[in-house]
Amino acid sequence: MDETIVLRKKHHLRAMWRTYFRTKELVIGTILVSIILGIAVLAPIITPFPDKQNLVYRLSPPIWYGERSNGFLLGSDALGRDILARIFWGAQVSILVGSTSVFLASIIGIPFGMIAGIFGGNIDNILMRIADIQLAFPDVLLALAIVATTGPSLQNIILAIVITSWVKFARLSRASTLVVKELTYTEGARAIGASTLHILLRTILPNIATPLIILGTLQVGSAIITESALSFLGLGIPPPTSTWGGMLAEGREYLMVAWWTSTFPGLAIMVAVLGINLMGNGLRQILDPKLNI
Amino acid sequence: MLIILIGVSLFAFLLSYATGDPTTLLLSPNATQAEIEAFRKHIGLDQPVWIQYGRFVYNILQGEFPRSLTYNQDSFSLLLERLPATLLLVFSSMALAIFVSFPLGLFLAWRRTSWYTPALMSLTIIGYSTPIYWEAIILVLIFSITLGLLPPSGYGSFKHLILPAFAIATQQAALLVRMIWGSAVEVLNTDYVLTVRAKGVSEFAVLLKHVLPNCMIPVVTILGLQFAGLMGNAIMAEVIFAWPGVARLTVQAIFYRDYPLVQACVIFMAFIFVIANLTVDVAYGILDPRVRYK
Repeated sequence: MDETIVLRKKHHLRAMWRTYFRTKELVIGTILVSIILGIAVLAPIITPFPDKQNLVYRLSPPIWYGERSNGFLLGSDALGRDILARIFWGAQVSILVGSTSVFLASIIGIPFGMIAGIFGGNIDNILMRIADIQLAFPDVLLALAIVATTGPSLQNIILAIVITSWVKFARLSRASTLVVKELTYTEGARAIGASTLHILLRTILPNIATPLIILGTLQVGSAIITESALSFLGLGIPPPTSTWGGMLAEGREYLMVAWWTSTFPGLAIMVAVLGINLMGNGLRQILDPKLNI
Repeated sequence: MLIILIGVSLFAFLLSYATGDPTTLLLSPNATQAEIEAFRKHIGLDQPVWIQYGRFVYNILQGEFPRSLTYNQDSFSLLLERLPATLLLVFSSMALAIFVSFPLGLFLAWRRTSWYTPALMSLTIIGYSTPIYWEAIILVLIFSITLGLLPPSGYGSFKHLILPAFAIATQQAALLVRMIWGSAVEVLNTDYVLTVRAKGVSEFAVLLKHVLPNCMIPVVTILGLQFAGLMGNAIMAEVIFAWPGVARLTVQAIFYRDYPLVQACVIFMAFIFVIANLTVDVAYGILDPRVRYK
């Protein structure tokens, strides 16, 4: 008896692995995301001093480009700082902003959406009108206005991204709740006398989790893009903290003479976002092929 | 729709109210207290919030937008001045994106089992994962600095339009290809397409006359939803390429805390959004006869 269960579990696990490896997008996405996570974690060990300036070596080209290079793998910036080291440290900021803002946005958005979905009525109306109003603005503009008001800092940037993105979680969880609450198993739960809270948490939430996980994954990518866009416009985390968007903006001033200063930080943003989008798409293919976010 | 505009006006008002006191930025640091008070009174900051909001809405309904603080001009006329540039940029990039993505999406759906289809579909993920500000910089590096073919920024000639329009269009086209592909693959599997093929209609006519019209509805829906994203990209493109449009004006206004101008810009953008959604609704009627007869 026990043996069959173990065997079945093993089989299940193997089937999961097989599906995982068959979804190439998911595999490539996980590899890219792991690389970014890896450099973020290892940054303090590999390159302990990303802010070390050396004006003698300013704007040195990458080691494999031209003769004047001074041993910087990806060149140095206008203050003679190693671009590769700063990209490593910048990964920390991007991951921190991306994951924290998505976590907070989902913690706010999902309960609101579920409550609106299950109760309907005025709560639903008000919530959806707020969502409509907010969706009328480009994310960047709203985030820009919030950060310009509150002042550029890590907390305020995360706050701005949370404010711009919680609506998406609310809308999606509302729409999914509307579907799930009509299904027979919810009716069954209600029939055996489960409380509304119990139904929300134990019946509906597990059944609407899939699209929310996919949305959450994809939102990490757009949070990273918004954060970099804010840094790029000059409202990011203030220097000397290394951020990809900030490096991109600084490098843009030296575009004529030193192309590497903005090319590589931008490439880092692209790789991170690409990895996350591939993961999100791969998850969608496996879990919920019909979903459209 | 009306609710959205009312909500947006309230939001625009509160937003600019929260940006803080503009007097400290606009007046010289050694202005006396009396001068500051006089200026506050001049722009109506000495009144309670709700009176300010009431006056704000009343003025707009009268067709009178608040005066910009930095330009000392009617903000609505400032916006109208910048509007043609933004429309030119947005429409030309949309046209470019549609021109590329519709044939490509249909073709890839038609050749779904080919070896190159997954490769090209992955390419579209790269297309929309690339942040526009980086893409813009790379475009400037290649076409302006290295090749010297196109101007890196500015406004005026057709040459100035190419880079910003292309930067916006790649993102939009990548998304569109995926939407059209997904929707066309479904349509190609339907029985009516099978019937049309059985009649001996050429494959080209099947795609153009039967698949394309039927896959338009979900595409148009998502296009409407993506409109805010398109405007977000337009903002970045206008800033990077120094394009004198509405979006750049808005960003400048935010930076200068020119709050009457921010209010006007925000309401204006929401208005454009409402128009875009109305267009989508009208498009449903044109595309889907069932909607028309209801």
